[in-house]
Amino acid sequence: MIAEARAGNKLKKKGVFYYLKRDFELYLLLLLPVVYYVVFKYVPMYGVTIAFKDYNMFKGILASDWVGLDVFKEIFQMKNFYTVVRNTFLINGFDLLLGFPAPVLLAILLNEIRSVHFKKISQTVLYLPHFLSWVIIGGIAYQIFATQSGMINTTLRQMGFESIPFLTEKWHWLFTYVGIGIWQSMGWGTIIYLAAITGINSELYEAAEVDGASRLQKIWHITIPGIMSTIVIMLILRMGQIITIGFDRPYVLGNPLVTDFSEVISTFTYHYGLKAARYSLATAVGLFQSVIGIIFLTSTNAIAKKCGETGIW
Amino acid sequence: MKKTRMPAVLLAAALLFSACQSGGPSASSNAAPSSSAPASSAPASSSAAESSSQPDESGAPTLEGEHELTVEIFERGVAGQLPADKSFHTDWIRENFAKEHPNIKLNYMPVPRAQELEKLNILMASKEAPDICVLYNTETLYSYVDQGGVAELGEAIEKYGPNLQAYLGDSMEYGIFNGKQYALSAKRVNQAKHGSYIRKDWLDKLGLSVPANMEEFHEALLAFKEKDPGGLGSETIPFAMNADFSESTWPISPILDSFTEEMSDEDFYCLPRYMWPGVKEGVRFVNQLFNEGLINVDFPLDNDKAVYKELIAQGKVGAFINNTAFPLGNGTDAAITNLQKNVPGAELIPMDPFINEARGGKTWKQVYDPTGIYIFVPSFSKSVDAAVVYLDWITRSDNLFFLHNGVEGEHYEMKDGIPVPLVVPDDNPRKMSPATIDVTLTTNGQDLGDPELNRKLFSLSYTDPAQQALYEQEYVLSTKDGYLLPRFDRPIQSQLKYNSVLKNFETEILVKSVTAPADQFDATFDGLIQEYLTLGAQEVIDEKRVAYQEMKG
Repeated sequence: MIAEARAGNKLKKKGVFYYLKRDFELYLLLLLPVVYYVVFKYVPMYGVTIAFKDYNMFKGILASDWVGLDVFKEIFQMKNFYTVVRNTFLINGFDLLLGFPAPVLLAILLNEIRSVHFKKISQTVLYLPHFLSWVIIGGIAYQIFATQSGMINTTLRQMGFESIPFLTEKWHWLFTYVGIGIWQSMGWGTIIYLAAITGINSELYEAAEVDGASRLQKIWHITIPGIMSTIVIMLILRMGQIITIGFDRPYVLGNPLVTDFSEVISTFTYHYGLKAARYSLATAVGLFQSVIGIIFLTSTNAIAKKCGETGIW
Repeated sequence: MKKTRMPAVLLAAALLFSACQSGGPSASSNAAPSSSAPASSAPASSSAAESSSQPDESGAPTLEGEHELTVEIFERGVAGQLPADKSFHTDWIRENFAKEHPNIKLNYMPVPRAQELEKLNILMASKEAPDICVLYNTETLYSYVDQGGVAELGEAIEKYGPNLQAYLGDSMEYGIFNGKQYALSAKRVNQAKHGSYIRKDWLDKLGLSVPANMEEFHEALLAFKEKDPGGLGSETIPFAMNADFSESTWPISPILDSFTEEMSDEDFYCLPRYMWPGVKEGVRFVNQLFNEGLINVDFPLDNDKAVYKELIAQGKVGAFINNTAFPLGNGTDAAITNLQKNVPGAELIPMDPFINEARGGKTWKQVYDPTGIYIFVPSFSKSVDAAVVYLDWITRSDNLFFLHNGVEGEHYEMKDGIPVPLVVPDDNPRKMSPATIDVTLTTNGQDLGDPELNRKLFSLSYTDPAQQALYEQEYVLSTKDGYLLPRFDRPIQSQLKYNSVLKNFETEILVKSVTAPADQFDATFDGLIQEYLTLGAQEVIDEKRVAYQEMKG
C-alpha cells in the first residue's frame, strides 16, 4: 500500500529499473506464476494451428499439411453440432441463473451466524462436496434420485405418491443436474465472497446499528454494496465460460434417455474428436469455444463498466 | 504373402506330448520344458510342426548384429503382485531369451492397464513408443496405419517368424490392412461370448422346466412376476438389463439374434446390426417385456453394470444375459458367490431358449473373433527384425507352454491331458501372475488342441467345482450356433470417423425404443434409425457397399 502510494507520487521521475530493484521481492513472488503461464498457457498456443491442419501425429504439429478452414466447415455442417451448442447454452444458462446467486446468498447467511463454532463447522461441511469427484457424485445421485430404487422415490411410493423421473425425463433431469451442481460448488464458492465481506469496514455496521438499522437493512445497504464489485467480477468471469462446459459432470450424470439435453460440446468433442483420434476437430471446437467465450467476456465487461462498475480491465 | 497353414491340432498334440514327457521330479530348473525338446520327439508332429518348433536348427536364419528391443507390458497394478516387468514370467523370458539370442538386449516398458491408450498415443506421437506395442482398439490401430506410423512386418515374419505363422494360422489375416501385414492379432481360443442364466430354484418352486423356447422364456418371466417365487413383492426383477451396450448389446444380444431374418451376404456385411431385417421385432419384444413390467425400470442409468451385478447378487433377478462367465468368479465380488450367501438355496442355471424359427431353428448368437490383442511395431522402430524374433520365440510351443503353465509339480500337474494349475501361496515370489496374456502376447488363452480338453481347461479358471461345472454347461451353449461379425480387409474411413458417435447413439436407440410406450414403439424406433442414418451411418453403409463389391468382386 505504502509502496504504491509512493510510486504514485514519483511515477514520472524514476525509471522501470528503479522499481524493479526496490520491489524485487514482490516481483520475485510474481515470477513463478508468470513462468507458469508462459510455459503452460502461452507456449502451447502454437498447437492451435492444428485446427487449420490435417494433423498427423507422426509428422508433428509443424510439419502437418495446412487445410485452411476445412475442419470448421465440417463442424458447422454437422447437424448435431448446433444441438450440442444449444444444450451447452441451456445448461450453463440455468447454472448461471440458479447457481450463480447461491454462493452469494450462502456467504451472507454464513456471515450472519453468531456462534463461531457453528460457523466453522458449517463451512467445513459445505466445502466438502467440492472435493468429491463427479463419478462419486454420480453414484450418490443414482442412489438418491433413481426412479425405481432411489431413496426419494421409494419414500414417495411408500407414502402413496407417484415416482418422479428425476434422472430419466429431460426437464426433470435438467433441474436435478443444476441442483446437484449447486450443492457441489456452492460452499466452495462462498470463500471469495466471505473474504470480500471481511474487507467491509466494520465502522459502517456500527454506525448503522446506532442509526437503528435492522439486520436485513444492514445486509441490504452495507453487505451487498460492499461485495458488489466482487460479484460483478465473478459474473464477468463466469460469462466468459458460458460456452465452456466440463466433461465429467454431463458425462457422468447423463444417460441415454436424456441425451436431448445431456449431449453438450465437451461430450461432442470426446466422441468426434478424441475417441476417433481427430485432434484437429477437437482443437477447432476448442478454438470456437474460446472465441465465443471472449465475445461474452468482453461484452459483459463493457456492460459492467457502463453501469459504473470497475470491470476486470 | 506365403502362408504356412499348419493345423493347430498338430502343434497342440506335439505340445501335449512334450508336457507329458517333461514331468517328474527331475524337472528341477526353469529350463525343463525347453530341454525336453517337445516337437521333435512327438510322433504326431509333421515336418511342418518340426520346422516351426525349432527354427534355430531348421532354416530360420539367426538375426545378426547387436539389437536393442523394448516390449510394452501392461501393468495391472494388482496389490500383492510383483511389478509387471519384474515378474516370474519376465524374469524367465529375460534369462532364457538371452541364452538363445545374446545379441538382442531385451527391455520391458510397463504401461498402466487403465491408461493404456492415452499413454500409447503420447508415446507414439513423441516417437518414444516401444518396439513392440499392443492395443485392443481397432480404430486407433487403423489411424496409426493411416498416418504411416506402423511398420510392415510381412518380410520379417517370412524370414524370422516360422512359429508365428504356424501358430497364428488364420488369425494372421486379422492383422492385414490394405493388403499388408501391419500387425499381428493374438489368437483367441475361447470364443464363448454370451451367456444366459435363469434362477433354477425359482423355476423349481413354480414347477417350470428350464425355458427351451421363446414362449417358455416369456412365460417363465411372467410367472416370476405374478407368482413371486422369491417373495420379494414389487422388488422382483424377472429379467434384468443394464445400459452397457458397448459390446454388441450384451444384455439382449441373443434375443435380437433370434428375430433376424434371412438376408443377403452384402446386407450382412454392410448394414449396421440394428437395421438387419427382423432386429426391430426383437427390440419390440424387449419393449413388450419392459411394458409388462418384467424389466428393471432404472436400467438406463446403469451404464457400468454395477447395479445390475448387485441386483443379481441380492437375488432379485430371475433371468439375465451377459458375457458367458458374468456371474462366476473366484473373488468375493462374484455375483453367484454373493447370491448364494444372500439367498441360501439360490441356484443359477444356463439356458438357451432364443431359437430363431425363421433361420433354421438355430439359436444364433455372436461369438468372439478368434483374435485378441493387436501387436504392432512402430515405423520408427530400429528393431523390426528383432521384434519378430522375440515374438516368434515366445510363440514357440515349448516356450508358450511354459509361459502358460510354469514348472510341472510346482505350478501345475498333468491330469488326463490337462495341465491343472496348483495353488502357489501368495507370498511365493515364483507365483505366476494371473495375467499371463500380458506376456504370451500372441495368444489369448491356451489351446490344448481338443475342444473337450479346452472346455475343461477354461473351466479350471474357477476354483469352485460347482462353478466349474456351471461354466462347462454354459460354454457349450455359448458356442452353439455361433456367428462372427463380418470383417472388411480394409479400413472403412467413415466408420473410423463416426464409430464412437454411432456406438453412443446405438445405446440411445435401444434404450429409448425399449422404454417407449407400446403404441409409440414404431415411431420411436423408426425416428431414431432415421437420425442414426443422418449422423453418419448412411455414409458408413455406402462406403461399405463399395468396399464389399471390391472385396468380393
